Amino acid sequence: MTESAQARLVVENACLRYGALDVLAGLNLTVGSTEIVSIVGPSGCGKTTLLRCVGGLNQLNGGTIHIDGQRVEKPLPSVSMVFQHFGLFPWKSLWSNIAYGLKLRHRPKDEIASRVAEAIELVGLKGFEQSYPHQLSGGMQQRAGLARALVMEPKLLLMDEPFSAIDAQTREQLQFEMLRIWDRRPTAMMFVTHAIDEAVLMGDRVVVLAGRPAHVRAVREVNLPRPRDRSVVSSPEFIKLREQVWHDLFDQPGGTQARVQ
Amino acid sequence: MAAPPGAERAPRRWLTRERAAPVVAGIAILLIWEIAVRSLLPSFVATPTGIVRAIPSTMGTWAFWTDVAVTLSAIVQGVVIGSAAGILVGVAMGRVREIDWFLSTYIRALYALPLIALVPLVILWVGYQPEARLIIVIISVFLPVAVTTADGTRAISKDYLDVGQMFGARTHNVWFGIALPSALPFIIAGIELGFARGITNAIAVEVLASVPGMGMSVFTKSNELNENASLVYVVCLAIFAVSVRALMIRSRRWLAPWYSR
Ligand SMILES: Nc1ncnc2c1ncn2[C@@H]1O[C@H](COP(=O)(O)OP(=O)(O)OP(=O)(O)O)[C@@H](O)[C@H]1O
Ligand SMILES: [Mg+2]
Repeated sequence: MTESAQARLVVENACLRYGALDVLAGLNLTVGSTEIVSIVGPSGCGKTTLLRCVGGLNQLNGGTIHIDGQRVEKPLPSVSMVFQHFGLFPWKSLWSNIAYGLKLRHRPKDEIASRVAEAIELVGLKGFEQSYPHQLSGGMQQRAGLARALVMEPKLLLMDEPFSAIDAQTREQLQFEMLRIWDRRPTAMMFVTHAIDEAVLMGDRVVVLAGRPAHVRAVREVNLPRPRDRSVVSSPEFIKLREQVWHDLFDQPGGTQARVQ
Repeated sequence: MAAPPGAERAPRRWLTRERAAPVVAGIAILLIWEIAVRSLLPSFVATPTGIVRAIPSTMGTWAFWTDVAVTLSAIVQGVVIGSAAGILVGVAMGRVREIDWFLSTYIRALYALPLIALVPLVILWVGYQPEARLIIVIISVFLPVAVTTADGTRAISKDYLDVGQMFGARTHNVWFGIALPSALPFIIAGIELGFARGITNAIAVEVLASVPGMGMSVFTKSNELNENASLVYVVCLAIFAVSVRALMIRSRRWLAPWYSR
């Protein structure tokens, strides 16, 4: 990012250890106020850890994270997260699950009702308000997880492999729905994924993490036009980018790929 | 939602072999009992037909219904008080390590102890009074409920805690909004166990402390060589115990439908 004044999230020199294990060391990252940054990296390299630190669920051992100038030390109300395993409460109806955050913040009843209804409509779960999570498919549960995050109108949305526990067809459907939702209300987003396709499709930039401790190995600008639809996937730029990210990920260090420390 | 396919299958048969089996076994046992007693034992020993004939003279008295009322109401009161106290202490133990350190050893030791051993002690405190029965029932229910609640609330999934933290749950929201409902299946199992122990121990107190009630009547009728009448009480207690169990299974299905076992 060049326009750092525009940056919503600034991660500076982030360091984190689990005991003797250095997971993050000197990691820098920014996310603009309406930017989607995809994060890819080998399994166990620290993507979830980084996301949790940004969410305030884990604490750094060194360095800082600022969101809109505010230092992150605990979860901020302007940040929402969508979890890989949905994390819906099985004892709450879909409606109550989605209303959870607003209720905890003691919003007025009618405001909760209208915002929850809107979010449910947005993710296409109308008619299932009174269903319980165990009565819904994985795809529907993650729609609910998405609605629960979106209803908070977050300034930064954190997504940790949100679609990885969902079957391939539903996943594809949800990716485009996510893009459509973002088009309607662009917001800053950190999107962690294992799938290179998904990273390129969703992101304005793809950040490739690698190494132990993890550092930013490469950053790829994705200049595909928005709104993006299915036709993007077969465009030459998409295919080229996918290839580049693949090399960023799997080529041995010391090759020709761009390296950023 | 449309009805799932196959919903219009043939109505389930009411009389299945599984259901008929215990009935057949029951009739066989009653027959053997009747024949064995009539041919081998003195006439005051109870027989199935004798019990049936004793029903009008036993259940037709005020004394019988007073016994039923005092015993069952003491049990129900004890279960309500014991469960409430057990849940509160259990959540505190499950969620606050320090409280667990202080209490766990003693509560678990008492839990493993046959509470009959405490009856003489309780009689010392309150005398040969009905309160002794109530206190014993309360303790009988309190201990298993506290232990299961502590175990259930300690073992809540980290996923739920993350969601709570992310959406701004405070300590009391975590205790009563996450830990407690997610531990419901455990708590219900604890109450079920407490109920069974409560019934047993209530009867034991009545016999040991000569507190009027169903248990004492079982004893006195038997001493009066009126075994049939004594067994009418026993059968009523058995019916109560079985109904409680059915009620608990139902309430688990109703309160924790996501928990399939
Ligand atoms: N609570 C923890 N205690 C100790 N080590 C941990 C803990 N959480 C994660 N780690 C370690 O930190 C490293 C990074 O984990 P993390 O979950 O962030 O990886 P990831 O990139 O999200 O992996 P994946 O792609 O498989 O989800 C791993 O080596 C993991 O074993
Ligand atoms: Mg991860």
